[in-house]
Amino acid sequence: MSGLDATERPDAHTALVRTRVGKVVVAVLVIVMSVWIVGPNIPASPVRDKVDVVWSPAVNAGFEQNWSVFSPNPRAQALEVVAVAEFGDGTTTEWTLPELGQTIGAYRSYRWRKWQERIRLDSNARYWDSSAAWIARDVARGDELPVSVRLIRRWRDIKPLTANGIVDTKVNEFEFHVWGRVDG
Amino acid sequence: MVDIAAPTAALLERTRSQFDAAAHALLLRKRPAWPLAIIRILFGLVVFGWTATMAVDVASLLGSDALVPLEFASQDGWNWFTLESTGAAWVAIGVLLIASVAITLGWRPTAWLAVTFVLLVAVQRRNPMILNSGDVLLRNFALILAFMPTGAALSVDRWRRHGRSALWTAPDVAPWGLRLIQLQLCVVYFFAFWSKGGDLWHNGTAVSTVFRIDDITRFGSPGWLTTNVALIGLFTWGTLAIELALTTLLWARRLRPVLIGLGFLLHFFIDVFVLVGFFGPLMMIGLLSFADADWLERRIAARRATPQPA
Repeated sequence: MSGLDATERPDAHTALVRTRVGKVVVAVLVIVMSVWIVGPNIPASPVRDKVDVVWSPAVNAGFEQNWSVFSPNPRAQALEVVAVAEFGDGTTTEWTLPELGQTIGAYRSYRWRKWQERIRLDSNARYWDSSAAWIARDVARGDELPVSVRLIRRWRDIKPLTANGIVDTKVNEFEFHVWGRVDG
Repeated sequence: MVDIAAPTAALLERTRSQFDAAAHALLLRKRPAWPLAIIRILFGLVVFGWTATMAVDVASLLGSDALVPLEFASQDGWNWFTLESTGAAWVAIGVLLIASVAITLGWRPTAWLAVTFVLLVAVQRRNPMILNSGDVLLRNFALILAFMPTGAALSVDRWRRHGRSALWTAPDVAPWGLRLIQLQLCVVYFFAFWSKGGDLWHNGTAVSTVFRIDDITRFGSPGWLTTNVALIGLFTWGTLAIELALTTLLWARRLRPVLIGLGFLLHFFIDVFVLVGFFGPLMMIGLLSFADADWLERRIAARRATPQPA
């Protein structure tokens, strides 16, 4: 006992394991939670499909597991998503991700970078129009929205390091979506 | 004919009693609550930081007219509740801020941790396009910590129950909840290690590639480092070795202080170079779940016993 004195009442968590029933409850809880922590990480397979139901309640509740980081290899592209907005008078402005700084701002900018990483993918095409519309509102001059916003992805392939150093590669560019203002 | 019934029964009995003793030591043998209190305080601060940084971008990332509109909110799993407007997002963020302060101070932390889990799921499912592993780990830790007596020490709850003098003492608590957070931590390390099966990790150059992904580096690409074959090899294989060691050897008591130190070093370097959000701080908090509670108790008791200058 390291607390105030030996008569201090134990917390509910510790008191639970003083009875046989409590011990059984704790054992069940620990086993269930352990399965929920380990199970969803098991690689996809027909066997896994059969037992998925054991941990699906946890996943549905939001207790998820996916810890693949830079795997199986790190992404072999450096990328950037920009938007070019054109106004009624023919002038254009380029929108880029907000610059948020490297200290505290780093704990905001990782979210924008994640958006950038995902929005460029064709598999996320359903998000393109709404993202471009948001950018149109972001660059609006007062009440004037741009007439169009073009979403552009730029990327540079990253070649693996060799004994001779690294090889520079050119930046590629591709316009992947055009949003147009709807008047009326 | 040899009678094997008696020796078999004795062997089974011995095995059962050894299993009982091991299970008791692992889950039930009480230890001072210091690590739980430290984890709770640090976790509360991380939730505060996560929420405060999200608050700045509520309109852009969670609002009615956000980058990702409401109809594209994640439909995965059960919807605890849906953030259907900017106002609802602000309420969720506001309650999360209150929860983070309550958790840090130790005012009914179990209830606030459960609230935090539910709100984090709601907020994160509103915009799945911006999430990383750290965000998921944040809500998992919230749920697991809700099963622990995190308010047993260094808390408002303890102050209210036992007076101010009790603030620098800790009761002994059963560690079964702590084992869950330790398991979660080891699972993260193991599957992070297991999934790195690509050729760049095997040939020792993966970290050079990571450092050249400009869009995820914190201070830009550290040019001199990306081309240093020896250092890159050390960092790449070192990462794999540390992740594997933290999965397995962390359970060996003697190696624990060194491995906790290595884990801190790993996450410090990742945080310096790469934008990983709250993943690093959370993993460091997880590593503290392996801190030796008895050692902490001895250190704090010795400090209490030292006469303070008048």
